[in-house]
Amino acid sequence: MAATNVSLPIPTKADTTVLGQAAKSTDSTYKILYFGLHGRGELTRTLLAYSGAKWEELPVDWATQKDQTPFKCLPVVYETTQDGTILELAESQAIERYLANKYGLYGKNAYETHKVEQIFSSADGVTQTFSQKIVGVAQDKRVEEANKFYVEVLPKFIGIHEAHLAKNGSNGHYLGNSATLADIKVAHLIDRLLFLRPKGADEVPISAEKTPNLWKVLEKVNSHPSLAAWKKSERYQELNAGTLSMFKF
Amino acid sequence: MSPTSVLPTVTRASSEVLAEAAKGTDSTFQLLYFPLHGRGELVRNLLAYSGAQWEELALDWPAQKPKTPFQVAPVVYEHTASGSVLQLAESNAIERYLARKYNLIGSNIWEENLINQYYHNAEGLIQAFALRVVGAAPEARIDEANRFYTEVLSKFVSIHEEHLKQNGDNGHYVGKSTTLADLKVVQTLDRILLLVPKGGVPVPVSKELTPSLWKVKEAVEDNASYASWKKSQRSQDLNANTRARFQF
Repeated sequence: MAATNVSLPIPTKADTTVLGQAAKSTDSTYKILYFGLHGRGELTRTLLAYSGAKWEELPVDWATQKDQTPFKCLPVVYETTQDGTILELAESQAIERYLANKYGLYGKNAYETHKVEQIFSSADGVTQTFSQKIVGVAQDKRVEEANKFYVEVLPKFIGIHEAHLAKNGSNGHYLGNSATLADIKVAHLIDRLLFLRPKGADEVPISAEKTPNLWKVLEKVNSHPSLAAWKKSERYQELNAGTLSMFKF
Repeated sequence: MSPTSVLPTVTRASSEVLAEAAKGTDSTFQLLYFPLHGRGELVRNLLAYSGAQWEELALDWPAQKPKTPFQVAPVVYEHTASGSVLQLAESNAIERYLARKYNLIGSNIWEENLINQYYHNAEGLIQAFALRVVGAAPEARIDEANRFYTEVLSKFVSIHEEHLKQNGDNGHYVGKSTTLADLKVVQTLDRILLLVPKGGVPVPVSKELTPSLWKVKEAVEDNASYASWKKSQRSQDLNANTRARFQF
């Protein structure tokens, strides 16, 4: 979706009390600015789709737009609230938490939020290791690195998380009886691991048989109707292809 | 430091009961972490800044590791005034929890988002630093540090100086008081200032070069319990241990 001279929405200037009021809106629409692959935009797109809110993508013209973004990086999300305020959201992990908070996916109190954050952080550690050790290495090293990752890093994560999920009743959720950012983050990680398996590498040791509790989390998240619809969309398939192409998988 | 390496017994109760206990702001804390800064630094800084009573547990990692929720440290045990023992894990999650408890995470969803934005941008910086400078072989470090300062740190500085000016250049990222954003950025800069390769050029962060960022550092260090922690023998030991661990 390359374009030229695409200007970005202009965020409303007001103090944080006013913007804080506007941010309470659960009837907002969104525009996301991110490149044509999953990358650091994937979980944001997933959360937008999961929320059921109306959202669309802005055409990227990075050379022109870069200096207009708060940290000169993407994703950036522009939220238009019920009362017409435009809020500018930056930094993927901040956006993810903001959306989770807004749409009731962040726990009901400080203690629950902490539990959600524990899981998020634990999963994020594995996501980053995967990015560095597999996606980030030269193509000819990938099979070796992936196989090592599958036996050295993943089993530890799997053991700990299967146990946590069992403690919560093996109900496909990390917290209570409903989805939180924890579930969505872990499902995203599993999707990523399965999708970016280097050609010729061993099977990813995550499946309905091997990791039943984690698999339940994955299925519950991915069967959420508005998210399922997003994943079936043509754009989503384009992002799959863009991801494989960008990282030469 | 507690003489025992036995971990506290965590209270088993429903989520509702624990959530109620977690509301307390008169808890005492015990921290389990290795004797260097690492992923424990900001947690220690937050505990110090809060003014709460806290201490470190004696480390016996092989024995304690299987008893931790994710088999990593830091872990923090919160002893609430109501008598519960809550277990906090994963450094980022602990930091946010403490920030929330001590009113360092903003007063609405928008302020919290702004704080998170600066937090994560700083996290990006420290990860680049870890990869490029700390991760380099000692003999390559001076070159890598110079490159990091000119290619990465300078960009961060110019973006952040601008943001701080837009907030009124008052020593704070959000509003008029210290938040997790300020503490995170200061800890990030402190780490970069601590791990300078021997014989390398000075870090281009100072009162003269980065006045707005320096104001944030001064505002945080103005907090009495934080300042006292930074002056303590333990904090000096952690500085030395951190340097030694990474061969700086």
